[in-house]
Amino acid sequence: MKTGELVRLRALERDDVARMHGWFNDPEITRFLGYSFPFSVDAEMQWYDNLQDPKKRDKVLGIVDRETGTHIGNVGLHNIDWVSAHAEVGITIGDKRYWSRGYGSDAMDVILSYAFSKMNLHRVYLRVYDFNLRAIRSYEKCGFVREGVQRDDYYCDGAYHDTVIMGILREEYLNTGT
Amino acid sequence: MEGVLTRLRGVEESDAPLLHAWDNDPEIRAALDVVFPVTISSTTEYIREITGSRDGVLFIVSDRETEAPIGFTTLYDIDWIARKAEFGIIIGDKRYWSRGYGTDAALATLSFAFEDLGLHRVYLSTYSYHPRAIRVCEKCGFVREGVMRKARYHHGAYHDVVLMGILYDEFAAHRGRPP
Repeated sequence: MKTGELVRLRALERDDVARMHGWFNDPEITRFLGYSFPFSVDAEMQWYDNLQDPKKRDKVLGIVDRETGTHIGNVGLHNIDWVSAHAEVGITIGDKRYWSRGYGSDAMDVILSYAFSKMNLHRVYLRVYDFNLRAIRSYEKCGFVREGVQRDDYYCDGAYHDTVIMGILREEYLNTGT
Repeated sequence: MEGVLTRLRGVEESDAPLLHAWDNDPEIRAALDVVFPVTISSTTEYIREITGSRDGVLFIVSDRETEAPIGFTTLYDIDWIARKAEFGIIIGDKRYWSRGYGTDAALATLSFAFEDLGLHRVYLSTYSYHPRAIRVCEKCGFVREGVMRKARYHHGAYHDVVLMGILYDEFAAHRGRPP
């Protein structure tokens, strides 16, 4: 797998689960991911174990700061459709010290390169909530195009919010010259 | 549930051969997110799963006049927190295509979604090469919310996936209008 300028991606290990359990119970992070009830380390471990099933159509990798080796977040391809050759990408920078510093965009570039050049996918898409402007800006920087808005699709903090759908095709990614 | 032309009832395991035949008809499966052949056992399993769950429902649509089953509608992936569900409809008996039966069954299903389940939003995705479905949804008041470019491979080419959605207040306003 190619290495980014700031990050590299690696397989998740059991030792990472406790760290991820902290991220995915933090409301400041989960409000960007969709509703979930507070969940246990056991539930997180079960999620991890399910991920090891090679038939599963989700592949999730850890994002590591190249300089320090710190595991700072995850990026994954979900709902992989081998016939239509597309997948949904999801990304979380769990370590907030790395927010707004280009680490997410760098990790996204690595996973897009992997999706198109190694997995032979032809399209990658994502869903992002309308209030997550930091993420939308970063996805646009990566070359994603806004394809639609699902109105009142998400309920959070007492109100309905829209979900924005963004997509990028292989030829668009290759033409950005990254 | 009753429409003007159609009646909706819950699916039974004994409906499996019917659904199985529709799901394997090339003209019908073009509208579905299926590529591999559908087996009778996977159909039965699906019926068991959806009837045993409160997060989805599948209705058999019949002609009110003859009682003949002509298709199905479904609400699935119900999200009780966002109060939304995904909608699907198949009119399997092709003699009933383009005669208003699909729209009638869709409206009865939407009425169940909004007025019985109390949902806030119903959405669906369909394919750009399937204008009949898009027309039925527009007639029911669905709004086009987006186009996922080249997201479906079918008959040797990539096609767009069309996203549509309807909110409860839109459905209520729409239904007040003459057809």
